[in-house]
Amino acid sequence: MAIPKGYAGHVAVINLTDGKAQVMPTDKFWRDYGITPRLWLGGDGVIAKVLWQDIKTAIDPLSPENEIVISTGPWTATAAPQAGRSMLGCISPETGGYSSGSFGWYFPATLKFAGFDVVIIRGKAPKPVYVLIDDLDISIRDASRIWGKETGETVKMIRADVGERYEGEVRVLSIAPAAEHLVLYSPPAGDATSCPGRSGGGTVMGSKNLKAVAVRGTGEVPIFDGRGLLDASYRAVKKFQAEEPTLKIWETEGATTDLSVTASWPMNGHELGINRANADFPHLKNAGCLNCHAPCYHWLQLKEGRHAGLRQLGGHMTYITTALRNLGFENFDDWIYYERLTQELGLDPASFSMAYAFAVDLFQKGLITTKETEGRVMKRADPDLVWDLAQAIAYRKDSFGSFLADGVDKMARKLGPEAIKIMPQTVKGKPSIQRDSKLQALMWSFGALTNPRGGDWLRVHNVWELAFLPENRDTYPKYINMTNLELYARCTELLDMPLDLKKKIFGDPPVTNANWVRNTAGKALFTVWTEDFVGLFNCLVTCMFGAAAQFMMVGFGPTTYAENLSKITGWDVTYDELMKVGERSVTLQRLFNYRNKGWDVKDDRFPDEESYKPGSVGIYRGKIVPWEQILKEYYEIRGWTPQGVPTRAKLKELGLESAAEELKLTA
Amino acid sequence: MSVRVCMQYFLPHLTNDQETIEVEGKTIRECLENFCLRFPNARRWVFRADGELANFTDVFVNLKSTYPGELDQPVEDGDELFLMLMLSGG
Repeated sequence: MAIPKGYAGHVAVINLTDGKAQVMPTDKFWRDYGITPRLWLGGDGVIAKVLWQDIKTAIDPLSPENEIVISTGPWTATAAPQAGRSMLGCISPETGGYSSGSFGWYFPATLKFAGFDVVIIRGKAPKPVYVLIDDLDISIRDASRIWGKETGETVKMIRADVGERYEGEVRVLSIAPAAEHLVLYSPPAGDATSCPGRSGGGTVMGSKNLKAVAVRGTGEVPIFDGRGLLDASYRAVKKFQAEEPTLKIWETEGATTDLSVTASWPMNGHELGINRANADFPHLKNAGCLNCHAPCYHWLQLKEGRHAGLRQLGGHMTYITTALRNLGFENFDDWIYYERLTQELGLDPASFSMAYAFAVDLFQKGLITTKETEGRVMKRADPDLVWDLAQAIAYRKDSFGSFLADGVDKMARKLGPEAIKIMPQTVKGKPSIQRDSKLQALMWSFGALTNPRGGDWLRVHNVWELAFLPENRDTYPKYINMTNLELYARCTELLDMPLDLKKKIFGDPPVTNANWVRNTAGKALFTVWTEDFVGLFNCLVTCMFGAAAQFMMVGFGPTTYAENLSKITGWDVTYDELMKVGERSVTLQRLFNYRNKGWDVKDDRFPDEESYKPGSVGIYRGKIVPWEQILKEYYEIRGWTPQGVPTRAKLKELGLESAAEELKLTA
Repeated sequence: MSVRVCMQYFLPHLTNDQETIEVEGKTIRECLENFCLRFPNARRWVFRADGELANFTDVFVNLKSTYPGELDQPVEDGDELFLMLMLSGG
């Protein structure tokens, strides 16, 4: 088959055990893996196909059998909006199931400029190495001198080693000490900055003695209709700027995450703008990945205090909220140092801060003592203690650091039932980002239950409920000159969704109000739609934040993606077709976990029984949240059995008959 | 009236990681005022500058919502008062 436009044309398969690298045409790779590109696009879709074929049973995630799959998509490195992203997939060291994470900055685009759509890395090197992809030339190089270095220094050393001719010519996806010491939640970092967070991919790289993948790319990506793509891309960004009601807060304050943050923005984020304005480089403001119209990296500078001299390209809300809520930091300088430190050490901020917060809870309740903590008095709001423990975890310096390095789930199970009872919200072995989201937002919480990689809500990230919380205050009018009801009326109208589907979710006529937010009707269907939509982002690959889910999901929708992708590839793709791509990818990830791990309805469950008892607090106002009922409805909508397994009919509809055959699924 | 302010889902660092704090008061407002007298750093997270409940904070009494008109509702001896911070970020 001919390779469509939008693809770079090659796939690299690197075996670290024997030190050999194979470069094959992308169409040969597709044939080998049974991939029809229009059905899977790239990113998560391709990762799911590769892992499905290559890893057919449960494995030790830290064994050489695990694979790292870096998969861009036809969207990556084009003139389409937010075209700087790639997915990185593997078997998760935290869960043992399917895992992937999205990352950006300039590694993904440069990989395509080098000529590669996908890089698969197998085996284990006998000693530390890094891979250099220099256009189509691949070499495996000694990394003994670099092993042990933090991410910033690693990037500098590799760039010097390969003879970078100008800054940024060589892009480096590298691991840090935490991954080298097999901390179970370590992501790699692209240019010490952008991480496929929550994937555990850094840990898997560490288990393979793979310090980094560096890439230099001087080619270009073929486009079917370049001028048409520029027009479509320009229109998309203009539409975003004209219609996104929360854009003002982003423009004035640089909010870098979902709408809910605007409620507490004066407390959480206002200092970002102040810091930026007072830096020595105030003109720089924000930076972003390739073609981003909502760039989320802040150029920050700490001029005074204990961290004076620190310059950080960041200020991302995940770091700020986890630092505030899980670590108890209220100081801006500590937030920013925490971001830099965890990026340098390779610690996932969510899993790390949840492990820390859980350790404080265990200590307070006497389930661990200074004997276990090696003399540490565990408490929040103690930056020095956090810095100390971050080092102890990243290097597994002592038994307590090593205990936290295995993450919340394993910590709880080592200590027994009393610890399990108080553990933070965790699903399938992976903790969430904050202590207990299910108290407030049904869809976000539900997304943690059904997320193939477990734990977090980032495969839904549906902010529709959050924007109404608390529904009675003046949060939004202050920023956007609309009442909450006006905001919802506008967003319900703009949401890129067929009217009949809107009616099923929001009623006829479609209306979002406090009553809708507090009830469960339509939530399962909206969750399914959103998961498929996010699944689409992760196949294209583009950014979930910024384009849609970050705000009220009205900036871009499947129609925008269809217009742009048609110009990139020459395919006449439609809304329905693209939503099916998302569904197909989500379904195969689900099937992968079912086949390899046996995960089904019993695993789509919060571990604490309190979640299933009447009297839950939250927006459901004193009544039990019927998780099981919503899950049943979700399965029915998806075409899955009551046990949560995709049916043969659904798999046939998605072109996955061979998977149904392999698993001998009944009709 | 003596009530317990529960911090598990708020910002436990404000109370030095104590999960529950006993305070006195006849209404939610009085209880929270007394709570903030003991823990002054908590005030900016509990109240707005105009004395109303902070935008991102919710209050539940005995696991039941107090919305609307939270602050002026009466409490009874032994009530549990949950503070909850609005979900954000990530």
